[in-house]
Amino acid sequence: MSHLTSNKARLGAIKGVLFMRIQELTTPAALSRNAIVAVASFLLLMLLRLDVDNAASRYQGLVAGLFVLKFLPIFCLTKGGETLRSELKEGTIEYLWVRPASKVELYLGFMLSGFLGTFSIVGSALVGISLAGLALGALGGGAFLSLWLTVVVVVASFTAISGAISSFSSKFVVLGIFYYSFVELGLGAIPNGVQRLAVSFHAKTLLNGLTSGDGNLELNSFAWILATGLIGIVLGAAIFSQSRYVVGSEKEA
Amino acid sequence: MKHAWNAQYRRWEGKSVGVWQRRLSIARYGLRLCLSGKIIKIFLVLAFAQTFLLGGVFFLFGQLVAPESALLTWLEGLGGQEIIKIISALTSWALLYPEICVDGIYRVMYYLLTFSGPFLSMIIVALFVHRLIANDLASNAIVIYNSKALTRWDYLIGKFIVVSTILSVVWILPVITSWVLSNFLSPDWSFFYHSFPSLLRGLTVGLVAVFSLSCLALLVSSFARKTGAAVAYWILGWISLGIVASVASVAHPALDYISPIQAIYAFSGGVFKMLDLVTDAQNMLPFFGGFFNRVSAGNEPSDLPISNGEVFLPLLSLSLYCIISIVVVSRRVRSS
Amino acid sequence: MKPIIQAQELSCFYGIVLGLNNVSFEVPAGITGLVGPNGAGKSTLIKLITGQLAPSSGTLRVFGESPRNNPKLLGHLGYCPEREQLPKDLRPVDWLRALASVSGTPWGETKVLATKALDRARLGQEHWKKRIGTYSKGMKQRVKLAQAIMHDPKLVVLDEPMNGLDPMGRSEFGEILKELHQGGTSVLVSSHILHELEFLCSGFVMLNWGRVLASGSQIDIRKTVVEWSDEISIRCSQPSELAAHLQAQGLLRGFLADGQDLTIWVNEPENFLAQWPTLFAGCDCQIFEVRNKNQALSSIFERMTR
Repeated sequence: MSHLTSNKARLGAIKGVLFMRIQELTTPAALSRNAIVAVASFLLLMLLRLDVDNAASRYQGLVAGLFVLKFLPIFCLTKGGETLRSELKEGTIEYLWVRPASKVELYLGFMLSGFLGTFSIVGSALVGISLAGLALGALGGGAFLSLWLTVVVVVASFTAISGAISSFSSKFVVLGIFYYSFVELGLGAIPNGVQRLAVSFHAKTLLNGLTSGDGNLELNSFAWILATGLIGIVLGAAIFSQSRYVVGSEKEA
Repeated sequence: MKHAWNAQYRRWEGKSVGVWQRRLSIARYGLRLCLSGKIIKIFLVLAFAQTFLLGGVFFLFGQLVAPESALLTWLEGLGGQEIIKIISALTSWALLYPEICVDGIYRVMYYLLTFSGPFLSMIIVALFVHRLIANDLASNAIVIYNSKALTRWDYLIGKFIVVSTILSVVWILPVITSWVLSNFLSPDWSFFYHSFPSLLRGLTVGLVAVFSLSCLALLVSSFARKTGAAVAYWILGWISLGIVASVASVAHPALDYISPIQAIYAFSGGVFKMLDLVTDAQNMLPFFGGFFNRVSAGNEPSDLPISNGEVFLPLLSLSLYCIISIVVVSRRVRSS
Repeated sequence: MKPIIQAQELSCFYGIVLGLNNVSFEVPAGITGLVGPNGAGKSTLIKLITGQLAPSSGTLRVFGESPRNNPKLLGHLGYCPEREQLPKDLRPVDWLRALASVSGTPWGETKVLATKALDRARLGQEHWKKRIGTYSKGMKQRVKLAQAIMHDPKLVVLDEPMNGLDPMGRSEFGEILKELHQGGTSVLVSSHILHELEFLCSGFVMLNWGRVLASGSQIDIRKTVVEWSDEISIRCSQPSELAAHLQAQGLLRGFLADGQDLTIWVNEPENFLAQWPTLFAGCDCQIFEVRNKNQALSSIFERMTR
């Protein structure tokens, strides 16, 4: 008789999807790639030693200005929805949704898996970046914590937004870039109602004075970033659970 | 003897088309595929709209120096005879030193055009990069191409024509069209002659940018195993190389050219030589010299944040990227 | 016996494209073949049975319940899709453990289930450490089957499971399905290789252009044949002697003997079969098997879809 008639394990779908992703991210090739990213980031930033006087201000500009506010949004918006879309395109999702798990649970599994995927690269780069910051004397203990927390919530939030976009369009990469251009760069930069929902706006506040103090751990900004991510997750889960997809192609829902 | 009712298989016995026809058919099919989206068409229209912006500026300039232009009559109506006198005083120098004034205005505008090119190229290529080679690799269509009477080089030339045609709309078409348009609308045929060097400069920058960005687009497209990844690689590569270049330039300024876009900017500076233009204008046009001294608080042009750029190192960097791209892409599309 | 699948006026459309058009049929427990040419609606029906699609109209019951959004029922189904794509960076045990977890199996039990299923699907243990991306087509089919039978389902639905398998692999696959059936699991298997299903399945659902052409047991479907072919295949101990014997009675138009197989073309098929019990009197020949061409399943299907 079936093993599934009673005592269904809690959050089994999330655990299962995450387990698959962890296995994929711990292959020798993936681990070597992450190590290369960490070492390359560290060595690259250590070049700032050549200009000791301006090292701290350059570090601030590169990490806060370029890495967190430009690279992270685009990276997460182009990679975050990949788990769901590649499952749909390759058709492996069929193995999942014929199982006794709710679509919402599966979607949450995909999102967490997407977060792990993006954070495996971003985290590796961040290890190199923060070690270089400590070595250059540009980063204190508090700022170190502030940087890591900010990056984690920013990655989570953008991954959730990318996931929501990917739940209704296979062109999530291009739409993600448009989202970044209009919401983050455009509306997020000028005072208006949408500005509060722009993740970069709050990330900028959190990373203000990264190299000159102990960081800026403002709970309000963290809450706004997480709230934006939550909206993305709820929207994505609602769309995913109500849509009919064409498996094995790039067609839309 | 052949019979009309013979239904057996018959080999094609007519004349085969030449290799360029076959390359062009790859390009034609590729172009149709790449231009199938609505968004890319919108961006291409935006890119082409620059033609009218440039043409408009050139036309207005031409009208300002024309003795009996409707524009001057209209300005007279607005500000009276005083305005006409001021404008006439200024534009008389254009007639006296056309090699500075006419060439200068074209040079400045074409130089400014190179600033919009990279952004538009990034967006437009992102919209079709996955349809170049990544699609063929992911769907194994490359095997079918390789089984036809084509070498991989023919295939690559066809694909190169696709990207370069689309990128030409951003970099080359506005330069040529605005030049032709504005010169036909100019008050004097000498505008053709005096603006020709600027056209050559604009075309040089455009050709280098189109060639190098096309090679890079093919490289990125051939790297991606999944079609979606090609778009991500293109955009992330663009940003990542920018970050790496800005850090590496601390070690040596030439390392700024690790970023192809920085290399294109520097090359554009080297071709347009804006500092030379300002210096010449200051020396030869008294009103500009006085105006310049007032706004720059007595500084020399060399103190301004403009430079003559470089030609050799950026070109070397772009050439290296092109060579790497050609080698890698040709290996990726091998039949084995 | 109560049928495990019941469809009543079932239709499914993709926009304006027809998937299934007003079909009604029943599938009893056992091994049932779902046959039809490409585009007949087999995959649509399978997707409806596994709850991936909702019917546009009509009803579909699996074990008396609607499969759409019914996790309890899905827990009793196993499904093996036609598509070959599998996560290439995973090892089979890891993938099966993850899928077992998605099905709700407590994590501690997933490994036992996964290894047991791979054993049942006859994937050699020496391959378990390799990543799925390195597997051959046949090995991938076994992994796909293993994930479908892992949780001891009551019904396993297999969409073209024998694609890409060599003859030995197909035969072994058939053996596995028979073992499953003996263990009390019903199997619904789709294929366009009718010849294989003929020896494997007790019942069939024949589809074409989104309609059911025939359904029921092999015997029921054969009964639908009213015309007999003049071509009869006989497997016997002495084909040449038998042919000479029938020829002498003036019954044959021609014959072809090959080893133990004899193919004969008779003058009047119905008379020939009517005289059947007395035909072989006086001939010292042992008959093993007699088949009328029209009664071969593939021939029946060919005529139905014509």
